Amino acid sequence: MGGRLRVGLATTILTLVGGMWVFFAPFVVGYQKVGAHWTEATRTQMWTGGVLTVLSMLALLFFAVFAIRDAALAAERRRRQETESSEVG
Amino acid sequence: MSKYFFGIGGAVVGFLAGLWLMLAPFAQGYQPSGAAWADPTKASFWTGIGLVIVSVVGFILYALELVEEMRRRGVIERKVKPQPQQEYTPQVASQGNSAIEQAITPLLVEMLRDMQEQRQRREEQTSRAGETVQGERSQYDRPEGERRADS
Repeated sequence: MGGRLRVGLATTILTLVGGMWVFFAPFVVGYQKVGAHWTEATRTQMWTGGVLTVLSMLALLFFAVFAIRDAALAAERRRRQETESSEVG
Repeated sequence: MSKYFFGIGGAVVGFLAGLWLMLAPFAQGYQPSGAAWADPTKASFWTGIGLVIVSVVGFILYALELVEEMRRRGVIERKVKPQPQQEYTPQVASQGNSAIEQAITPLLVEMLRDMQEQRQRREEQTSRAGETVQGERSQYDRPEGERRADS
């Protein structure tokens, strides 16, 4: 995995963390009291944070799935080439 | 290659969410324009800016990786940079001359070989022709009686 791809993955993880922060920010920062009626700002931030967290998690999950699939295909191709070259030799 | 599209998609979603977070306090009306920013507005706005910047960086990196992967697989052709023309210097000239010599020498060797073979063949033909002529001449040198007996 190259450096560029690692940094790209780090940005996706940061987006996931950012989504979780936005979800909990009203309670962490303190402008939404626990048990009190939710304000417009709280509702907006919890919905936005929740959707962002879920979508970032899905993006990471599918990235991992397809990365593993590509790695498996590459290994299969390499094994086939080695078998063919050993047969010819 | 599909994996890069999920990374790009995640970056786009992050970008849009960041933009929404920056604009939501004003769009939804819980931050009146001109008033001092409340805590929800500050948290939402600064988080939104952070998400936008991180998503743009992620998008660029995933896109570059995708383009590189497509070049590796031959979907996109690599651009070949034109070689800068070298300034003429004696060093460059001598390098060029030696390169020309290296290219021409095998051709010269082949040509010389061909010429030698042709000369050998001509000499063989000449010597065979000379032997035949000598043989015929020696026949005529013999006394007439022997010649008549042969025919």
